[in-house]
Amino acid sequence: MKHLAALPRSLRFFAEPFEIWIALACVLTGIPATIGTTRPQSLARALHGYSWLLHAWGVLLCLGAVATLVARWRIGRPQTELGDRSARALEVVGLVMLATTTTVYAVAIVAVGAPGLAAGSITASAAAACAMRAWIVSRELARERLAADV
Amino acid sequence: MSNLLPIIMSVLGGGTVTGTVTAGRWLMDERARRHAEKSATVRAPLIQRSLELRVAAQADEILQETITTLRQNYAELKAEFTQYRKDVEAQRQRDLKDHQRQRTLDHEEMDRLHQEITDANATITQLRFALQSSQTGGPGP
Repeated sequence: MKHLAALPRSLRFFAEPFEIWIALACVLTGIPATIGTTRPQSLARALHGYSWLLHAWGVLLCLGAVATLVARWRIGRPQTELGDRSARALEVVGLVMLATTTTVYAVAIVAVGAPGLAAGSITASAAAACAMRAWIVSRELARERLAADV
Repeated sequence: MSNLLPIIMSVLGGGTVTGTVTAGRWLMDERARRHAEKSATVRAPLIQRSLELRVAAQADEILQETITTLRQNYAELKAEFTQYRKDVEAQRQRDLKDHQRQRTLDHEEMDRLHQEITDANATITQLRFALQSSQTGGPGP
C-alpha cells in the first residue's frame, strides 16, 4: 500500500482502477437483475426455471460490488493499521463475491456457443482478475496477521 | 442447458464457502479494529493526562537544574567579585603608599629648595651690604 501515499487524495479511490470499474459495472448489472427488470439473456437461459437463483446472483453481484467499492473507499482514507487491514479484508470478501458471480456469468455466456466465446472470455478474465487480486490481498493479510501475532 | 446447473451450483457453492470464510476473517478484523478504536477512545484522556504529567515533571526537573546552575553561577560571581574588591583595595593601598612616599619626597625637596632660597637671599643681602659699604665710605675705619 506504499504507492497510495504517492497519489493525490482524490485519486486514491482509483489506486486499483480495474476493481473500481468492474465493481461499478457489476452494480449497474446487478441492480436490474436483483429487482428483476432486466436480466442477462444467457444467464436467464442457463437458469431457466430457477428465477430465485437469478435473483440470488444479482444480489451477490451487488453485494460484492458494493463491498469492493466501500473497501476501496476505506483504503483510500487515512486510518489506523487495523482499519486498513479490516478494509482490505472487506475487499477480499467483495472480490470473492465478484469472482463467483462473474464466473457463473462467464460459464453461462460460454454455454451459448461459439458466438459467446469472446464475451465469455472477457467475463472469465474479469473473474480471474478478481480471484487473483483476492488471493494476493489475502496472502498479504495472512502475512500481516502472522507478523502481528508474533 | 440443464447440464449447466450443476456447474453453476458448484461455482456458487465454492464461492459461498470461500466468501463465508473471508467474511468471517473480515468480521474478526473489523471487531479487532472496533475494539482497538474503543480502547483508544477510553485510553486517550489517560494517555493525555500521563503525557501532561510527564511534561510537567520534565519542566520541573529543568527548572530545578536551572535554579541550581543559577545558584552556582551566583556563588562563583560573588567569590569573583569579593576577590576583585580585595585586589582593588590592595591596589588602592599600594597606590596610596606610593603617593604618600612621593609626597614626602616632594616636601623634602621643597624644604631643601626653600632652604637654598633662604641661603641665597642671605648671601644676596650680605653682598648687597658689602657693596653699599664699599660705595659709601671707601675702606672703613
